[in-house]
Amino acid sequence: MGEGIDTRALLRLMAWLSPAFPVGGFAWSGGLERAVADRLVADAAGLSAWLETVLAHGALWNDAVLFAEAWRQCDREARSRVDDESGCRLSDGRAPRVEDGAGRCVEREAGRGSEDSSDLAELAELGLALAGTAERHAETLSLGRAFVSAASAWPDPVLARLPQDVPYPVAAGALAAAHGVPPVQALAAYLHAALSQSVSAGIRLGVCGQAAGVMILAGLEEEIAVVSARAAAGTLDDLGAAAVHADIASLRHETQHSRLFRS
Amino acid sequence: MNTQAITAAEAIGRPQRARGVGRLKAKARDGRTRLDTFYQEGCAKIRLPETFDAGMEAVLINTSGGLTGGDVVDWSFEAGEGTRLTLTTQACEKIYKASNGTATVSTGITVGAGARADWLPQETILFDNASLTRSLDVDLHRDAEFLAVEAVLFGRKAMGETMMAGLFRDRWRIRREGRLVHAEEAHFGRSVADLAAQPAVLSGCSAFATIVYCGPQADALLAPVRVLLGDAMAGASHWQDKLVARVSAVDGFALRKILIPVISHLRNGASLPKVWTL
Repeated sequence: MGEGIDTRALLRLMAWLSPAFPVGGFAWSGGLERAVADRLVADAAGLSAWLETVLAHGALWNDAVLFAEAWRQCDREARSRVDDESGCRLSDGRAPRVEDGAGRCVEREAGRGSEDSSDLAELAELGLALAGTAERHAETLSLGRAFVSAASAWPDPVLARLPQDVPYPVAAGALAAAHGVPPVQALAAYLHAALSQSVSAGIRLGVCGQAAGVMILAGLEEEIAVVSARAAAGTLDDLGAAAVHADIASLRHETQHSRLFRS
Repeated sequence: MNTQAITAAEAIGRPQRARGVGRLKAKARDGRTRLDTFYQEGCAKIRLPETFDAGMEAVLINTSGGLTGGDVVDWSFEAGEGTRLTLTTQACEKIYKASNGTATVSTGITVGAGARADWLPQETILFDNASLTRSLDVDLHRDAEFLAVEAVLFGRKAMGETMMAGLFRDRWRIRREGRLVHAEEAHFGRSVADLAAQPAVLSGCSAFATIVYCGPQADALLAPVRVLLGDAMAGASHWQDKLVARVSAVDGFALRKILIPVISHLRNGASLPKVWTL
């Protein structure tokens, strides 16, 4: 698996991205409901292809890039905090995360602290401006706010630095960095949770059954790993999507007559 | 750098990279929009046909007749306080096979107090192995109005052309009083035809368009725009002070048929540039 993940980080990741974490993800389908109504997605194979495209070339890819950027910004902040306390350990005794291979503190990036909250605000603004439809905007904002509120069970200064209006991937990426969860694993868990939610929506929409839904998730594993690694190594310059019909489906969902989902 | 490595064939056939810079600033005088400053260089030319209303229409021309890897065109426009500026192109911009590098087209538009700018270039046509990196940066005054329509064709279906591979990147940033209010990030890379074949992308369609309107009428325009889009593969929504519509179609002609009435409506009765006909 390459980079390891300590047990406490794993537990936090599982908590934040569990369907039981109160962000309300089950209420949203990201336009899938309309794609099904318009016969763009008709069966398990179609759902799998749709989700793979959204993951590698759609809104989920942009979310991954935003998540990774939030992670980096908060990791820098966490580093300077560690340095300020002139040690590799935070006051609450959390495991050090700012070590190189030999266990030394990596170099400090002095003076980042005050810049960071404005960088985060700018990133949040970009994430919201990029939401290409009204419902996608509502979805990322609703999940982001709910995530920040629920995450207060793990107190961290990063929560106060996030702006009020924060898109979901920016909130999740910032918190993962603040708690020392490595970026590739954090991203993989985030993307897996989003795709699980979509598969579950697909099942509720009658596209496929439970067993086929699990098969879809198993089949997406490799692409989740690839996308997580690519986004973690990227920059904001890697933003870019091609899923025009996924965007159109999201726009058309607004006028759909009977709806189970808010998007 | 790749751009340094010009092959012998290129040295003979196309020795010079196309370079163009065009700038225009409009100001209001006597209730009409007039030219304030104007600059053109290289392959970028601007024509100002006579208009029959108070607004100004500027028609952009790329005299190099198309773009390929390494070409650079830079446009910047300013609609001064109280002006009405419509920007369009004389022809569809054709992006040809790039041997190396990408064609770069950057457009900046500033819209002043009480002014309105309409960015209505004709379709961009990308041929096989074309590479285009484009950006649109817009700065709006608090009460400025802005409309942008960008249509992209992957080849011309009627001519049997398809863009199998290549690169298309389009980055939009629209700011109002410095605050980012809208962003677009399109990225079609490598196997463009395979990607476009995906149902979540274009289901094999070769034409699509993005329409963004920012201004006080976003809410009121939504219902009529939805009616005009009819049963096309298209959708529209409104949030904050913007209206966004997206359309796909089998080819450029089908796309135009959908776009013309929509643009016309979004212009609030102002006439459409003459180039925007079927």
